Amino acid sequence: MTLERAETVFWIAHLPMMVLFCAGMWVVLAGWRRGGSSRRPSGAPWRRMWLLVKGFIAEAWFNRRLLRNSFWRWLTHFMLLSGFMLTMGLSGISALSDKLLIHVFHLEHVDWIAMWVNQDHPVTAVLNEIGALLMTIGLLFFVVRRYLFRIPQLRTGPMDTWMVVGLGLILLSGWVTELVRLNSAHAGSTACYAFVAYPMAPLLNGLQLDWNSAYAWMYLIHGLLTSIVIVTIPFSKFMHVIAGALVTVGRQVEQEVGHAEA
Amino acid sequence: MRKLDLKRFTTMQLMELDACTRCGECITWCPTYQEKQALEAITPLGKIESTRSFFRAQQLGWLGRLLGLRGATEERLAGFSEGTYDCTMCGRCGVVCPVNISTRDLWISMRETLVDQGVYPESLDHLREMVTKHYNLSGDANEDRLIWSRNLPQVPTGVGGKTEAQVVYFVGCVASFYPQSYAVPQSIVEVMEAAGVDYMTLGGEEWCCGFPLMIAGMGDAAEESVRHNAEAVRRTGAELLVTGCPSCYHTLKHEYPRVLGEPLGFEVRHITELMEQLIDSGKLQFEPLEETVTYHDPCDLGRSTGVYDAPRNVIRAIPGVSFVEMEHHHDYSLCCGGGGDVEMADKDLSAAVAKRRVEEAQATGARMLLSACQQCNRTLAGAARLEKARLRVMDVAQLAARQLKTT
Repeated sequence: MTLERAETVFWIAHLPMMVLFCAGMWVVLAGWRRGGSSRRPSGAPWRRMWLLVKGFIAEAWFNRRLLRNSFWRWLTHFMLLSGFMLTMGLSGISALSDKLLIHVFHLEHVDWIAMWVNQDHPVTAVLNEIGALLMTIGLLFFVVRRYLFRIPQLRTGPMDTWMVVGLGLILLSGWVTELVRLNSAHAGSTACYAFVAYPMAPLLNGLQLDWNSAYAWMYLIHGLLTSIVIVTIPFSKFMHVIAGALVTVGRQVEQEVGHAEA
Repeated sequence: MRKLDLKRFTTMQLMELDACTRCGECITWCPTYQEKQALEAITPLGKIESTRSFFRAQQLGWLGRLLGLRGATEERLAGFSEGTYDCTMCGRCGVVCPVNISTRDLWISMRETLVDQGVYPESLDHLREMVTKHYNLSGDANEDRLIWSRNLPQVPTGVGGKTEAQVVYFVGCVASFYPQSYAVPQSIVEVMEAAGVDYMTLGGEEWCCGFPLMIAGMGDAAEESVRHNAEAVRRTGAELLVTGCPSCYHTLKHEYPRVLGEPLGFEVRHITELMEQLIDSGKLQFEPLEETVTYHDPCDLGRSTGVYDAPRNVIRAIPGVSFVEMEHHHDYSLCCGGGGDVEMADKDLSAAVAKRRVEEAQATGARMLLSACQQCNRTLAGAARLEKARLRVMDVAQLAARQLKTT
């Protein structure tokens, strides 16, 4: 299979799945909207924005409450969320640069814009690896705690298992895809700071594989797995990533506004 | 399948149901689950899972059943009700929740939904009748609200003899009608007299604040009480309302403006906050006491309203007192077992939670366990008696009155 064909198949499968995802999110949001009105934080818009940003950093990302209770849980959460935000952020910037700044505004000659669509750029390559590595280690901590140590307070059900399996498959297939890509004709050699997949890729060089075809397959598998997991977000534990961040920040803002008014 | 009313929950609360990460931190800290581990429905996580499943199954219909969501059948609602009403509403789960879920408010909304469905402990019907017909918890004639003052050596003018004053002392049902708590309002009056506070009580015009109904999920039935009490206090022209009951305090301060939809027009403070101010201004002074004491944070005063320092500062103002903290204090304080109307639903559970707290107090080596809540004092004193603990349980106001410096 060629990479072009893999991309075509991916988009044919991905787009309907994104429609399903949006439908699921619409159902969830419609459910939320059926509730009674919540108290809206008062004050100037800039102050509300500042409280939201502060709340997100302190309570959602660095989660002070979790740190107070358990360092290892905090570390797991921090690595998973930081890795997730970094990789998603890079994907977002890459898509924005590619589809808008380069295709519409033809800014490919601007180095700091072009770098975001180049997977082998020293900066993007190392950032991508850091993000994926943080998520991988975080997920391993999560698995050890929930499935090996079996901490009594945890109630492990299908939702938890699906989260581990879904995220695990995305990460595993992601690493394999990258290793295969680096041995195919699609790789560059400029990622001088990357420290995981780039040093490992030459070790697999001896394998007698059609690397270009393998890369196309892995691209497709990784992409489809990601799409499948995304479709399940609205009705699975993955939803807590969105709802949790909103609630954490919202409650913090409510409390701060409440204290200020008191 | 029963149809549940989502309007009982705010949008934020419905989001909270999806925000739960199933981390189980709440389970570790739940005082009732520690005593009743066979009942999974009692866990905060279990309650959230059930509610989410009920709502989503209702929303998605056949698709929900296909996804394995469990709708609100009578049998499931009954189990859910047992778990929900065995909660002391202490709010400890909310303190440790990493996504900051406002659990206590969530449990109240769940109870309101169960009341709508008619699936709640029968004893709560009795409670509703007492509060809406007799205007107090005990069912006694409400005109007898000042019965606690009858054996005072001299009944001060502030107790039933004034129609206007700067401060209204809101006594609360437990202090007014439960003889083992009479010493608390007596002490509060003694302290205010000593400090020269211009205060009055509302006598029979004081109705139950509505808190027991609100946390039972019967908040609609409390509205009449809310309006009556607010109006009764406004008529006196008082600028300040003080109360020794943390539940009344929380309800008057936070729930009344919400129910009324407008500011109260007077300030609400707990008696320990007033005492702290009187000490600072030199109007209250104490005789020394060589004793080791510890303090139990009432849930409605501490976690729910954020008053932690005032009672401690009053205790520390007594010369000679050696103050020690228990293992769990402030935000993490254990519940006394007397909250959330649990005593009505499950007396043994309430006693078991109280026993654990008394054991913690004993471990400090203190000879005196202080609190700032009549209900906590009552529950803890009962547990101390059962445990034959060498521990005297009393209110901060009682100790303050006992140590008052007479000039």
